[in-house]
Amino acid sequence: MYDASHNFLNVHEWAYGATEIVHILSLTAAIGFIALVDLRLLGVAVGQASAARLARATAVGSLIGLVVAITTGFMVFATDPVRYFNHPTMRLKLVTLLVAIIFNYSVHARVARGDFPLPIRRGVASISLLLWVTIVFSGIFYSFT
Amino acid sequence: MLESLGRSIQDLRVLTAIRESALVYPTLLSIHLACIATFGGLILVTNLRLLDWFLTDIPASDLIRALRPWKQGGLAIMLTAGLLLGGSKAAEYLTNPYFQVKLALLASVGVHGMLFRRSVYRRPEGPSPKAARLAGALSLILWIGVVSMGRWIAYYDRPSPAEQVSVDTVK
Repeated sequence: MYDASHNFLNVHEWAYGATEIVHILSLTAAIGFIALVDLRLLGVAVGQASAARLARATAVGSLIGLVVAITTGFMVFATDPVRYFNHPTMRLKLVTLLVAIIFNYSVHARVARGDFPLPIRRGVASISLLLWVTIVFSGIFYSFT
Repeated sequence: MLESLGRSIQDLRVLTAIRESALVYPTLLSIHLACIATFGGLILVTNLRLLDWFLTDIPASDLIRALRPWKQGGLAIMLTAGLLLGGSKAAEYLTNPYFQVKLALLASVGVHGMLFRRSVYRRPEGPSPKAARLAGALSLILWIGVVSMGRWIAYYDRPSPAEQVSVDTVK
């Protein structure tokens, strides 16, 4: 049986804080890279760069950011798994995260790399930004509700 | 001194209301963090370009110009939310060493922007390559420090009066 009281992050407070910092920095990298593509899809001119060019340039960065953010997220999750799992706001965060990842690597990737009319590009960029911001909000609201 | 200054700040009616609201405080904190994630992420994008690690086929000046209004708008929202959050607990925050370091780092970010204004950010012919790398590296370090100290504010163990007494007795 897993005993959270022996979890490294629960035993060492500095490690808990350090994990949270890495979580925030990595999610900033991931969401920032995706937001750059979204701004381009919304119609912001970034030099001569197309959305496809920006999507290619940011793909590795946003993937690394997501992997690190999710890993550190689950490290914090493991410090109190039952409470996290049963909390409605955390469930909203996890479901939104799943939807955002699927959306990012299916619809978002196709629209960023393809030739679609502006309303579709704008709609996809808005959904993408809305999903990621919802994840941030539910991550904060979790500890207040 | 700082503590009494903090008390008079946080006793402002609007800041008291924020502190006592169950909904406004987490909403402001979420806005603060969402701005860090999106617009702070754009700062990271700019710095990586200045370091020549990324998008090297696009002139750095084009990227800086395209992102400037978004970063400025995002920074304004982030600072407003942050000031309201910190202000609502000013007595606690102003005496927190990690918050003090965060403020010092933010001031350094301002100085950084002015120092590199002519050689990088507003240079008509584009950033000079050497200054660009230095500006990107410094900005990256300063902002990582700001975010880290922001989180670390919550980890400050304020010495309680009782502890101070016992330390004095031991001495």
